[in-house]
Amino acid sequence: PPLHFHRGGTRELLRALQRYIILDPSPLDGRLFLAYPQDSGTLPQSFDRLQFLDDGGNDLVSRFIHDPYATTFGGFSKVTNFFRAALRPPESPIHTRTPQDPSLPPQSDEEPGFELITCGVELGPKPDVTRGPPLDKWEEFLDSEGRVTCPEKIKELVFRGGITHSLRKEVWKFLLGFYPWNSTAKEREDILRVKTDEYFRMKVQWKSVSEEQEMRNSLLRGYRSLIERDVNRTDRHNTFFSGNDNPGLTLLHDVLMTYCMYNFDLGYVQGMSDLLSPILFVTQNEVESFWCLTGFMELVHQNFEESQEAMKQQLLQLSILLKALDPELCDFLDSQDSGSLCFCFRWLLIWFKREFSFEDILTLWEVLWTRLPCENFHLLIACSILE
Amino acid sequence: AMTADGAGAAPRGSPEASLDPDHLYNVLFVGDSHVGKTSFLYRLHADTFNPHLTATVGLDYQIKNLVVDNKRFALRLWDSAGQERYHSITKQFFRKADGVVLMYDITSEHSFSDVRYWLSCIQEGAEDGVAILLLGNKTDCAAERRVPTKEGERLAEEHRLMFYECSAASGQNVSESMVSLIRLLKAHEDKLKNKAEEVPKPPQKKKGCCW
Repeated sequence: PPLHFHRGGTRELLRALQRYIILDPSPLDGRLFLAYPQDSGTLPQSFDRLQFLDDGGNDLVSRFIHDPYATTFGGFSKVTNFFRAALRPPESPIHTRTPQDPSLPPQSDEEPGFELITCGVELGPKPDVTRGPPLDKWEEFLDSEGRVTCPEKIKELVFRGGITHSLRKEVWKFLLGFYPWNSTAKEREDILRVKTDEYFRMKVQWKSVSEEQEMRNSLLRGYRSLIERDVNRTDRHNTFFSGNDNPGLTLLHDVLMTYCMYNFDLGYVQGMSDLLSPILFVTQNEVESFWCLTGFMELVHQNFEESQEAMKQQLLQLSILLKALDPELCDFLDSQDSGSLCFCFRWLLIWFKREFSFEDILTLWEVLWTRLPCENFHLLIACSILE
Repeated sequence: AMTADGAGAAPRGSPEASLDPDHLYNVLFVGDSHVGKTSFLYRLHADTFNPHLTATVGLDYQIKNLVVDNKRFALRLWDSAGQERYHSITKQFFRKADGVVLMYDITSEHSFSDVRYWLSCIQEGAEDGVAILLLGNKTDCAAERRVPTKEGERLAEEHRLMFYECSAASGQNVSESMVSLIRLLKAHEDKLKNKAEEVPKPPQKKKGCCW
């Protein structure tokens, strides 16, 4: 029978229940709790996902259910100071508060209630993780006007299982921000029309540059010559780009040139053709692939900036993570003069594109595009490769 | 393990050094995009030509073992991206390099005129007296040649560089130039050793992390 709580008290009930059983939020619906008997030995699935350290079981589990955010990050804070630097998103400053603010404790690193341990910590045994089935239904997640009813659920499913190939063409456009999740089917028609016009307007810009004009535009000339050379050597084993005079090559060239007009300051940087080729392969559409590329570049454009600061930062974060996860490997790499992890540069720059098969990259990228469970998840992937 | 792997196998017909080399040198390959740095290394490693090698991004590397003059040498060959955008990464590596291979494309004047730019990078970033090999690649494309051999020689003479023309496509001068570079590196190492024995050991520049 349903119980109604008109004056609150649901949390208290959950807390009381937790003394006797293990409660776990359902992966399909955060409001639904799955109950496990204490002695079953079954560790709740969603906890497994984040179980970096063995923290004595039930107490942490119940705290996790009660307040997953605080408990998870409280757990992270224990992993070591090393982690804190690595888990911080690149843009966020170390201290967001100013020391002048009298209402807050001055520059305190310790959050109340969280324990910080600065030395290395033994990580617990690795949980068994199984991949879910790929997302293979779409229509049923849309409301009558075509809005995606629960984007978080879609992302969760994609994170766990990827997307079945026939649906990629549709879902990638949402993951890469071409269509907002809450747009109606009608609104998407309008977006497509506007974005198509915008694309061809930018395409005409470089198409209409005469040879003489280009003689006086060394930047554009440089981008064009690099693109022409790189198109000829990007994924040529893939049927979409193989052979001479393959229309896929023209598409790759034209979309990259148009991206230069879209972001002329950044322009074309080697590696971008790697980012575009899987998108083009999946969407099979010039306009859509262009806008999906811009969405992808939103996530990684800093990797391609002249200063290379973002890349250096990520390599540093990776080495910090690795020091905590596998200090022996770190020592070995140091002894081989490779402690700076320069050999991981390419992995992080283009999200492992050259390290896995084309097919696997499609799955890996859609998982990473969900930004679950954290923005720096690609660094943890790098760690797992090194392991 | 990742670092030591890469390309352990030697090309066919070339003598393979054992796992424990007498000498280990870091060699950095630089030069404009598309002059053939990766193809050259691929030829050295697999003794074939692959016309569809992808553009290098950032840095890549492989190990090459060779026996020269009855000594076992291991070369740690660093392949760099030619595009200017990645130069801040490449530049960090000059400090580590015992030798630099500076490559241009004999069918591209632009890549040849950029040799001076690259020399200034080397001068700025590398240790004094680093061994430099100037390589003019793509001699198989004789019909499209834009840079005469004489010009390459003149530039090499002016800057006291070792010079070869080669072809990653045909294999011409690929091993030959590497063997010469090894001899140069060895001579350089011997000279440094002798110096070190004469005078009290000078404080060494710190090698290690690349940033």
